[in-house]
Amino acid sequence: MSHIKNPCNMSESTDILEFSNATLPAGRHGQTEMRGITFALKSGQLMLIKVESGNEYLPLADATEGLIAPKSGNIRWQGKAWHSMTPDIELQSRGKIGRVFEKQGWLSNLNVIENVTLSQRHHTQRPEREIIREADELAKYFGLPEIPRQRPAFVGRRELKIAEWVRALSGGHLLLLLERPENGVPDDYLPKLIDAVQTALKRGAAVIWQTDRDLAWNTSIWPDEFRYRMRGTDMVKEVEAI
Amino acid sequence: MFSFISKAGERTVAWAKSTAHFFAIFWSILFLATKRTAWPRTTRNVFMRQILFTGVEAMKFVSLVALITGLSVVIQAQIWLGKTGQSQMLGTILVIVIVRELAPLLVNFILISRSGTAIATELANMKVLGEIHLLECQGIDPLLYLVVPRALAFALCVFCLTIWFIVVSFGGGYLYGILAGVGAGAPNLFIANVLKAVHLPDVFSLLAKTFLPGMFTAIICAVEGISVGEAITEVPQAATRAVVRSIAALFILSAIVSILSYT
Repeated sequence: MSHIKNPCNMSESTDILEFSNATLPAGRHGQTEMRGITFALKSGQLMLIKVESGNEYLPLADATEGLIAPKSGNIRWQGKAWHSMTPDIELQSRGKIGRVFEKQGWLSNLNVIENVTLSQRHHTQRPEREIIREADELAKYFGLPEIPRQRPAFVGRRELKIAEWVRALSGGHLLLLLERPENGVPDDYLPKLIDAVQTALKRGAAVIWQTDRDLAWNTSIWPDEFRYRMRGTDMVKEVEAI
Repeated sequence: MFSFISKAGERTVAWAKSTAHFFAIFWSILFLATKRTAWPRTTRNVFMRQILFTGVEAMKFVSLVALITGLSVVIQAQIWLGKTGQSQMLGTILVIVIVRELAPLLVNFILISRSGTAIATELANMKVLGEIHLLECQGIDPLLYLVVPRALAFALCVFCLTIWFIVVSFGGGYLYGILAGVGAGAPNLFIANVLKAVHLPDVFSLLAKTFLPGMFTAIICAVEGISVGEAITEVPQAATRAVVRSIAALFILSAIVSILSYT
């Protein structure tokens, strides 16, 4: 897994994300309200959340990105509350987050490779050829010949999901938000995703992985991991970080 | 009676708010357009695509309308001015009719119906499908990425296509006039006649009647598109509102510019 760019020069002890007794409103598309969420995620740490059947959609990722304000409590990104940032800093901060989306993950008027490279082309000065090469190498690692060049409407569900993995994992993001990334992809592909996530963790990224699949839940992905299970509106901690 | 006054007041406040919102976006776009950081390669890409869709791809239809307009107006002018012995007024009449009024108005109309509706529908669909949210999640400002390049490209296209409209309508009309035997003399005389009739207020009027309505149209269509909720049934409503408001803005602006330019 040499394709994943070194994400950051964060020191091991820096808090990337901190939720303090945050209550998150239900948000869009039937999301479940979340109450009393408290955790701190540092560089190189993984947080695995098992979601309940029927309540799969959580507002956690949107709240993490500062797109949903908590009803109560605080959310801090790299030590700062989202509402205290200037709009430019807010946008730059979101550019450091890679995400596999629960629902809509594509701009329909761009082809898939343009979608995958959009954030990096927007936020960085990296040469386009280098960004595309990195994405194609990651796609090959996951078993695709390359990132599709067609519009998302003409690409299969499995290829699109893998392209979403590539988008989240390329460019060296500080934080990966994986909202049920295994959906739409056969279990055979999961070990490679786990391997890619481990590489990202090893290089200093923090990861939040929401899952409803036993395969991901039962795999010990990373020594420095937290496990939570959703019970109604509560997120219950299962295993202490090692 | 009280209910009527209350409703009128509510509507006035709502209108004032939406107008203030529109001008806030207008000034934000002008401000952002001057910032170098507001033009990353992704935004430049959207700008170029909009030029292609709104400008280049509309050229054929604009040319056709210009040709037909040119035939009608130039021939009529040549015939009637010839009959009244006022042939030397040809340039002035053409500039008044085509350059000052018809060309900017028709080009704006064509682009409102062709590209304005496309912008409103595209952005409304993006909103309904969650694509605006997707941009925000990636740290991309929807105003910067979707509205700024479209507004500026739209305004530039209206201006360029208006110039093209004038050239085609004059050229087509002149050629047909020669073929029909009611020509206005040598081409250089025709061109000189027209150019002599163009004054500074005409240049100001042409710039104002193309760039301003062009930008207003794009902003109105974008704002209407983005303002839909989550239902797909809101998309055609947004497109209709966008067209009606763009046309209203076009007429109001054209009238204001005419009054300021020629009184």
